[in-house]
Amino acid sequence: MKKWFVCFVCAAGLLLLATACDGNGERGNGTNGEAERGESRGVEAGGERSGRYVEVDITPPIEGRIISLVARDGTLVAFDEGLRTRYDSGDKGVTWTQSPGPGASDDRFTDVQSAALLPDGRLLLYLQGYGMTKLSQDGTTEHFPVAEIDDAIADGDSHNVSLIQLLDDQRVLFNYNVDWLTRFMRENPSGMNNITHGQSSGATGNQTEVRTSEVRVSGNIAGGGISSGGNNISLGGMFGQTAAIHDIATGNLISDLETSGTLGANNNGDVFTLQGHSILRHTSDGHIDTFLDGTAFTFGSASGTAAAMQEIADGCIIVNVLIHGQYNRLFRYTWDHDAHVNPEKTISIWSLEDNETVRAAITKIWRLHPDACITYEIALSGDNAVSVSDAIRTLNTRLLSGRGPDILILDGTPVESYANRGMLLDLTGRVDVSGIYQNLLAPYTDNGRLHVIPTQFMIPALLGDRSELNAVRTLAALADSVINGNPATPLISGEGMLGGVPKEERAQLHFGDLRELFDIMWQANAPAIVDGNRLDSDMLRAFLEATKAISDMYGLTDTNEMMAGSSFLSFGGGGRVNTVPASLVTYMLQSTNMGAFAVTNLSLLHTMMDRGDGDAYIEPFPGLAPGAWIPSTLAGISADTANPDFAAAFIETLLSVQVQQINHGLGLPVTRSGIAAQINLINEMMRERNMTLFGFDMDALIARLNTPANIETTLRGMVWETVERLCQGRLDVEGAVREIEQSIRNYLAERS
Amino acid sequence: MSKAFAIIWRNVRKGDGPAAVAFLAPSFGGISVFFLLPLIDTVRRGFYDVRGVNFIGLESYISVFNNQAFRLAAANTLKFAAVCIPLLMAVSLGTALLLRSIKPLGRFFKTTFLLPMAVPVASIVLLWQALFNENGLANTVLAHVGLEPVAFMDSGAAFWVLVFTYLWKNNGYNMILWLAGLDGISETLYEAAHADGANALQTFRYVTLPCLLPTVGVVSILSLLNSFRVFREAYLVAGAYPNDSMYLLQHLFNNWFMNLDISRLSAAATMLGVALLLIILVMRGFLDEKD
Repeated sequence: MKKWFVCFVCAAGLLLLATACDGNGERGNGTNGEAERGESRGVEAGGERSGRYVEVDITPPIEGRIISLVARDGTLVAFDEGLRTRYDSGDKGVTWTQSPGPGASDDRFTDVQSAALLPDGRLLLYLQGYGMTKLSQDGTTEHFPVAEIDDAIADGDSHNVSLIQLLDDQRVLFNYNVDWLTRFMRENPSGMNNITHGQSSGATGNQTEVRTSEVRVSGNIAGGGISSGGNNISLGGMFGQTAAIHDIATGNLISDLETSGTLGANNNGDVFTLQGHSILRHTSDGHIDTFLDGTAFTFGSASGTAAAMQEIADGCIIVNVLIHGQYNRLFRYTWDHDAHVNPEKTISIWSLEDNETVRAAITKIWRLHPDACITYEIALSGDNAVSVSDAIRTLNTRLLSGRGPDILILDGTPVESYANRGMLLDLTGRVDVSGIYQNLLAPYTDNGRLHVIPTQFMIPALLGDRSELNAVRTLAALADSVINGNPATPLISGEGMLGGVPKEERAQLHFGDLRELFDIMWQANAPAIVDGNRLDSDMLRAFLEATKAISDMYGLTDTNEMMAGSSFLSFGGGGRVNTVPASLVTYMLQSTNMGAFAVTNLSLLHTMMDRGDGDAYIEPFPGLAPGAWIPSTLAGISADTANPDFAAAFIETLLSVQVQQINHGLGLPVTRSGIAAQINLINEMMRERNMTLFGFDMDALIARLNTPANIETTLRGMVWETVERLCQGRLDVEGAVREIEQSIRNYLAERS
Repeated sequence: MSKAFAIIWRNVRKGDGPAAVAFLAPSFGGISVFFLLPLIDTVRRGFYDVRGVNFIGLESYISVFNNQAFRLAAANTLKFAAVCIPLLMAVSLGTALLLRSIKPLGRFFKTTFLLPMAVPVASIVLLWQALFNENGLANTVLAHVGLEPVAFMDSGAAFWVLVFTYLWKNNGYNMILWLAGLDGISETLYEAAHADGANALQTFRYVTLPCLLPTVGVVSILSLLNSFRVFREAYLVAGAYPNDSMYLLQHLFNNWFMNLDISRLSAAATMLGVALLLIILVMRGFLDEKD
């Protein structure tokens, strides 16, 4: 009996031990945490341990735009802009052979956007004003008749050719539409013609004999890209439509894709689409998987956008990447079975929201360390329903259990808690911070220790003529200026829109809604209202009075459908879209004298300062805390990290000029070199366009910053609730002060 | 607990020990992993820094004692328990007695009173908002009878809203406990009282109440424990920082965890656990004495 009991206890103990080990093993394997935690979307840069795709830059010596093609025999062919030079590579881009292109002595080919290599070596392309053309290497052209296009050219109708692609030795596919603009303006944009042109059956050799078969695909307009592979063609959707795969021969719908754009297709009929930072593969049986996670690759970086991709022999992938929206580079992705991961270069990065700077740094560090394994977890990704508090709670649990991420991107999380409680590594001596503006770094240095480093920041600022700005040096002066100025300028009436408003009739400021006003006011005043664990009621009162005065003056609690929220314009690198606050839009439209906004983007700032009707200048927002700034991204290393050196290397990569110079629209670079590099990029562009250079002294502006504003969402949320009620007239200022005092009291007391 | 160990020891001496231990091992293992070890870790963390590396002695306990938020939360929690538990016990006992007196409909109402326990928290939260919002049903009724609207969630009224919720949700459960206790009272006692000429009040005072004393212990302890579960509703309706009157210890614990203030959280949790244990022991002692 005793033996039986001992055996039972031993077995139970072993079972428990095995379970515990198994649990630890699962958590420690470095893969993304999706299955384990369920609330974080993880993306692993570097692939699985048993092999991964390796990126190789195979760009031929071309600066600027590149037209890349793959011949039927797998030869890579690239042309520079204007088809002046041709590069051929028979070894997947390892070496290139240069030869004069057909445009070497002919300027007609500068606008060529798409072309196909015919089996006889000629190019089939579309020439503006000439129609479809077969182009020989020596520059001789032969017209390729397509009746509708030729008629459109003859009649002067607008038309467009968006794809020319060789299907096989006998067929070439091109996509065109005629009078596209007219169709675009109509409610129903259907009627896209997809026509396959091929030889008569049995014919080989040249392609002079043409049989036209027309496939009409209704309801789809290929605004989101078009690609073909096997017997299928995928058409990208536009205006809310999803992309779809059709049979080339019949035009019948095979399947819808849950995406709007397509990137390429292979001979199996699989369609590749670009979703966020990754390339997805859609098989014809409806299966979708992540083919290439862009976190580790150039096409997934903030500066790059995949323009086209093609699968060539041995499963190699060629991706043509548009960098900064200005020039192309070619990359080859090859599956490396032997790729291994260095355990000392395995780190995980956590951030509340997706961060382009982090992605850019991952791309860069992975290129420098191909044996690294970097996991990037985004707590609030779009495909889960996790709240901020849930995300932080989960993060805390992991940190306390010693299984937290190695690098914390503290964007909206309780930074001081992590730093003060010893959860973050002292970065002094580990990370070179000499390039950072020291006044931005100083607030985070405590007794010589540095636990978090700002990597991006914003400046709450006021933009306007020097004379206007000089008159509003304080918050009270700003409120007085607004109250004594003109009421809100009507934007969409008479000549108000685009035409500007006479200066004497302009309002001082404009905000799309109360939230926009509150955000900028809170950013500029929060450090004075809540200092440490103390609430300054007088400062709070002054803040509330000014906010209410401006809100009342401009009727911000009324619904303003024309300018509610923000407008969207595209600025900066990669053609990425940034949000432009309504206050700036009205300033740019010359409807207000000043614009209030948080400076996150030098391109945007330059555009605004170049409004052209005065002496535009920028000053820190005249709040109660002079020199307030917002650390939009802070980075720290977990004290429990197993790889502190590589984690530090990653932080240094975040601060490198290559990463800092990219204009993400999320914040300004914290390094001098980053600011200078961004200004250089802007000025290069301005020089090309003969426009005014960026001449504002950013260093001088940044030197005036000294107080980081609290970025924690809890406190801001509590104040916002009361401010909203105050401005709606449901509370008076004293009532609002009391309410905030009451609601914040416990918040502050908990921290004391 | 000591009785349980005595029984085990007796069985061990009788030779049934290995079998008894084998049967107890799974549940003991579960309790150890999910309760005892976390409890020990919590107590330990109260004496260590956040990372659990450096011993800091009583620093966290002193800080907790001096913390204004803790004092407010502890006072509110105590007040809530002091108001709610007697109230709930009285109301649920009254309900149980009422149900027993209307026997034909008793079974139907018994089920009805249990329904609040089956309502999901999310639904309760929606109900709260519909009832107690600034423009909610309660204020509409008040306006109809000519009274000023009440900011239920932003004033001292929030406390009473919480009390109401607690009573509404737990009344059915306690009522079932009381009914079980009442069913255990022998009918002969009532017949004897009736024969002695006792009226209903006297029967209740001298027969029912004394016989219910064991049930009082169970009901009061469960009510106390259930009073901590009302936090879910409070949190979902009013968030992490509600009106002062309903700022409970659980709010503080939650916020300290969010803020990674794990040392103070552990110290406060340990203190709360000790306080609860003392209260339960005192109650047990009191009830045992009465028994």
